[in-house]
Amino acid sequence: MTTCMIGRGLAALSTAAVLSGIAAPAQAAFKAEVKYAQVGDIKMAYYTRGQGEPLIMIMGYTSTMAAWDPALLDALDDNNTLILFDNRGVGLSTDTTENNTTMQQMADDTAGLLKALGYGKANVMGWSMGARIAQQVVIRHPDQVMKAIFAAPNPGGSKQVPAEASVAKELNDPKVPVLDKAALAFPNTAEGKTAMKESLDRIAAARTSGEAPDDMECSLETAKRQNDARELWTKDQSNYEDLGNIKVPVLVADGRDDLIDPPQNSSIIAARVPFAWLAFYEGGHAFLYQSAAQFGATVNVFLK
Amino acid sequence: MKRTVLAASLITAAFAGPAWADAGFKPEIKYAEVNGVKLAYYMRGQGKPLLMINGFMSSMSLWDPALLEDLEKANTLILFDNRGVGLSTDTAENNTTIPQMADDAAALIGALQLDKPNVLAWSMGARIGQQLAIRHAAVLNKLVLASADPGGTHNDPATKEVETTLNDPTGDKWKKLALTYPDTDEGRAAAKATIDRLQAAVKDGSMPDDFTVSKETTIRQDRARTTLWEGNDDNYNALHTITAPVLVTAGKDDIIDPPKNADIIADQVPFAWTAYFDGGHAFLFQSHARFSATVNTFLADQGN
Repeated sequence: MTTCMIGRGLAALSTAAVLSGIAAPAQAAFKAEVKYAQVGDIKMAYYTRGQGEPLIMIMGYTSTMAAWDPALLDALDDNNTLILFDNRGVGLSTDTTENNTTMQQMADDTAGLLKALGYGKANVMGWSMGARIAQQVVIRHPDQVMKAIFAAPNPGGSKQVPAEASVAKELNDPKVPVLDKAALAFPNTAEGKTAMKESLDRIAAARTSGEAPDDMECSLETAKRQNDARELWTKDQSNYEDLGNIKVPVLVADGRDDLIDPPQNSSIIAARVPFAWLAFYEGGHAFLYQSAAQFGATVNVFLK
Repeated sequence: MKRTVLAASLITAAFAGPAWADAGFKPEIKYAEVNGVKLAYYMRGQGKPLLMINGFMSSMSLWDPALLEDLEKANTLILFDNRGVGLSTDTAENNTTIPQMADDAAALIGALQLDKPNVLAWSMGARIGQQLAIRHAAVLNKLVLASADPGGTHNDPATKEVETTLNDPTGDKWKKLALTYPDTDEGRAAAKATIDRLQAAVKDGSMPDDFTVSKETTIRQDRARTTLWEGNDDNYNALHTITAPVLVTAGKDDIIDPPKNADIIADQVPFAWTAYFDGGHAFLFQSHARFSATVNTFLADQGN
């Protein structure tokens, strides 16, 4: 056994040396190159990063593609070609004059973007409001989906477990500073606060270096439209009902201290989707930032 | 002489890789006195301790060598015979219950002075694993349940026909094994692959030749896992008190403990993870690579 361990140790050392010689500089040199695709009546901004099967990542409420934590992208981009984009009206993507923003519409936009980019099938990951959109992508466009990951999701309708009223009020108030809202996505502990600071630092550094696009704006009009879409979601029972018919493999994941979409929502969805995987992590709504490495590892295993 | 062997091994290891070294593994069976019985066990691999609890009529040799090879890279496996099975003794009077076997497992952990091992428990072993986490929360770290059943009135039972074949103490063991794989070409091929690997491992000495289970032990275990386990809801009612992180896994085509049981258990255990795999009751053999990758991800530190 000893010789075996030494043998493995040497092999690991040499592999590490080779990898560090190639991979590290390539990683540091990555620059997001934003492109645009015409999808229906709107122009959608996106960029791709990494290698492997396509994994389209759907962002949440009022957030741009530049708001993904680089630590999470790092954990995923060795095994996946990440497709990061702005939902309609957010950041660099346009919107129609009339308000067509619903979860269903944004799901159709996502599927339309995949088609426009020539991906026959892709893995789909959605976070927060993006996980509501992702459920609808799977339900409305099953032929375009290989596997799906719902992070901090909400099933909608009467089955959902809503955030406490005080949390919802703060989240939806346009006057509350964005940093205070970010704090709701991490546990209100010393550890949570540190995790938030590290995440925000990484996101800011990536924006400065060009690793992520300089793209953080979301208009009040878009925020309002998205808010209306979320209210429609709460009134609509059909998503929950349709979860029972999902055929693609699904992983549902959440933070144990999620105040925004409480973790019971993940259990409710997983119990409804046939053979859904379920995983919980240290962290709040932004658990996939705080626990990026372990969440990324779970996603990679699930997608294998 | 010793140095020559070491040098030769190093060279071989460098070219042939770890497979050669694994083939050289020989189990060293030891015994521990616990609760009036002598439990046979052996250890294998490297890393944090992972106690593996086997199921109905199954000795410590009835693990697919492919699964052990996957797991031993990151875990020190502790494999043992439950009381009365294989090389372990039993008391004259019948004390065999699921809680008693959980007490045995806890006592074994104590006797071996394992420092809060992780536990992987399969089939009847997963019933023991639940009781271990309920009765002896302090002795274990994380728990992986495979093909589990919550007992009492809450379980989703096998059909009568399956139960009859399984519980017949005079029944053919290969017929019983066939029940643990899907009744498809793929399932049959997977069953054959497991049997081939097991036979090869016994032949080359990397697996103990330890498969004998007496009729008396079979009858005792059958009573423990059916009559007694289904006799009350004590286990189900205590699942919510489990504090260990738990991953509940199942094969999508399990006809012995149908996969619905995994959802039923996960719904009760706080923040339980779930994962489903291709295969039947023995999905962890059929899907060993993906299963062990999932297990390793779950067992990795995430600060809890």
